[in-house]
Amino acid sequence: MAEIILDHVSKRYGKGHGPFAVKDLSLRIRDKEFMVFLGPSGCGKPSILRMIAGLEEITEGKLSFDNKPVNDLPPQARDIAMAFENYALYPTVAVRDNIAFPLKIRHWPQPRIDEKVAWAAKAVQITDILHRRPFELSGGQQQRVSLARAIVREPQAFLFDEPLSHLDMKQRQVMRAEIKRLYSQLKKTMIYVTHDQNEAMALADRIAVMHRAELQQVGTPEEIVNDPANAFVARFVGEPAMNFLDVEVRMEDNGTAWIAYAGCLLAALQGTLDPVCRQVLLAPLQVGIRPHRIEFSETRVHATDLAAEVGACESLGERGVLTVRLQSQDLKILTPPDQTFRKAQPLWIHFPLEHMYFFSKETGKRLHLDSLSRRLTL
Amino acid sequence: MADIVLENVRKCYSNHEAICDLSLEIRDREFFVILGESGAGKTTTLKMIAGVEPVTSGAILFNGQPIQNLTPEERDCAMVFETYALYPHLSVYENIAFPLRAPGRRMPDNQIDQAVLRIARILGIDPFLDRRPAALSGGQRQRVALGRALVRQPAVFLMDEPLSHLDARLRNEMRTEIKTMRESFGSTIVYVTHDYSEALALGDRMAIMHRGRIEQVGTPSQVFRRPANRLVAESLGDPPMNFLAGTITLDQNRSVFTRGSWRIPLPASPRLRGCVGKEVCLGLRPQHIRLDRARPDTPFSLPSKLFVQELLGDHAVASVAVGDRLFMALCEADQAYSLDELLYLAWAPEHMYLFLEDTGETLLAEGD
Repeated sequence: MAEIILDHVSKRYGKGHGPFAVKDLSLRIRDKEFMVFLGPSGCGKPSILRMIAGLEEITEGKLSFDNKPVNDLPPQARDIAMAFENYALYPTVAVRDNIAFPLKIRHWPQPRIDEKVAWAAKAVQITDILHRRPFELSGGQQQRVSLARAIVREPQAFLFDEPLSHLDMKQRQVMRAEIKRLYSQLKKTMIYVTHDQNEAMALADRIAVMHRAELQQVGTPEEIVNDPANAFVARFVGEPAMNFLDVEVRMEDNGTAWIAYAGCLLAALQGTLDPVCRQVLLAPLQVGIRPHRIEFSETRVHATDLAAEVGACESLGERGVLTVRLQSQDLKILTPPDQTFRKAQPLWIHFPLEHMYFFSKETGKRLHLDSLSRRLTL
Repeated sequence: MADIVLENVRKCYSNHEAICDLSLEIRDREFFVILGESGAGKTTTLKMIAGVEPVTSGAILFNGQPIQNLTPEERDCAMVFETYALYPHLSVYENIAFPLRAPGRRMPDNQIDQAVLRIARILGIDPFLDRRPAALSGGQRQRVALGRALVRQPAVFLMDEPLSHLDARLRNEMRTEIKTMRESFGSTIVYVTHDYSEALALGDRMAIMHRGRIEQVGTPSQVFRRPANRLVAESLGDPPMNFLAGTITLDQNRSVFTRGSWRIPLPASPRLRGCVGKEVCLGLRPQHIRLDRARPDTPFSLPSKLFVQELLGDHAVASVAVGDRLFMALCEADQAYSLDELLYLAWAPEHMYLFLEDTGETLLAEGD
């Protein structure tokens, strides 16, 4: 299997007339790629996995593996393994036999089975618990057994449905590293579903961000963070979330566009404004900026600095989160862990132009004002 | 307005001791956080303060007065639980006003109106006063629950994991809200959580509980930088502190941490001198570890092999194998290492922690 291609795939429940679980999804998952579907609960992620696995019928569109349509191929003929969120192990059967199960039902010869079970157990580091039974194991160990069972017959692709959500923080971190390591050793196509952005960032070659049954953006973790396609992606990825401000734009005939927040100047864009840009800038606009990009100081440094007031200051051990009040709106700023602030202390806030994102307030779409020759004229 | 003192409090259920000899002083108007894993006895402690769970032995005092014999109503405590338990058939306004209409302490209507509006404004829920809980988001419902508990300005305000079932984003937002609002509360707050970042962010002081005992009480900065033992160190930080077992030996009359052929010098202190020959555990936080391809020019260094590297937006986490232990270190996002590459861990000596292996007691902490 080289590629998994979703071509205008939709899923509707209720005999195909209900609301969309997945709407018009087109995506090419490359051979040996680690693709993560990321989104809040209820955005259609599990339905995608189940359609790829063949456990769910496709309402509309075409699914192909390696350019061969597989819409009607039964699950067992797809050469795919699924690691479920709940591990679905046989609790009273020895770990060794749980792992061997997919090979036994395919009537592999016993020596081959033993060899593969030993290999899979070694890969996920459970060689020493092969004789034990799942009910005697911790959650993390059960998860490893489930992984070993998924990899044992070396299928062409692996599907993971929130495999770590049951585990506590420490185990989750260790298992995440194990899955990443396993991937770099196996080099098979991995499709992974999660609502946890850290997991997505840590594991993915590319991330597909889903919201309300629709694909919002697909890209490398870096692209998703630094170059979000719309306000939803920008807000969903990153912790604390990106700050958003409603801004006003005033345009002058000489081509300068002034961007202001609540009457205070934020930035000036200068250059030849083509008619399309002018049109875009006339609609209501939002500016987004990430918490670690906001600069602050006790004295005014730039003409475009905004006056703000300290609301809350939270120290989280490794870093601090500062909440400042700007007019009637709160902004989050990341600070070094030891920096302290007084409540209601005045602070000057600066948004560097190169770190500002612009979005249409109505559609949420990202506006690439970079096409203008941007620079601060003040 | 009340200070709370727990003196040698014990709580036994039929077959086990849930709280063992707990003594604690919570100051008037303090925001006090109890941090611990599930089963540590946090909620039991809270319930004993509220009076819904009797103490087996020991005393609880509010403002110096023993209160074991007072009913929950007489103690002037309000409690917010993990589940908000709002009345679905009442509006937000009526939900908040409910405690003020309770028989026996019923307020006149105009005073109720003032109190409800005041608290709704603080919590930012005044636009929704006519709505039913079903028409609100999770975060808004949680605020209504807070409002209902706060409306009668209790002397003591008890919060049991009020944010734990919200999603991560909302939890962080509500945490900031609570932090911002607390000054307008005027109550002593006891807040229970299993989330270390909530504890560090909110608490004036905090206690770390484990299996019915208090491991340490201090300000967030004290417990983070100078944990009393390994358990406390382990429970604060994400990724958590890394540990490596070894022994303290003498090398040219200086104490050193030894594991196999590895030697790490330790500061000269009589306390460490007294521990020569003891089994210990070295602790390093992920953010204090630097990764180097070349052997660094410092004795505070260990060789390792890259297990896996994970990119997390603006930074990356590298898992490296140090002997048979897996360490996590934060590194730059643009620094890419290859699988099984030899890397040296290095750290500044002041960031080194050392714990006794058997008791977990801290021998060396930041700044020692």
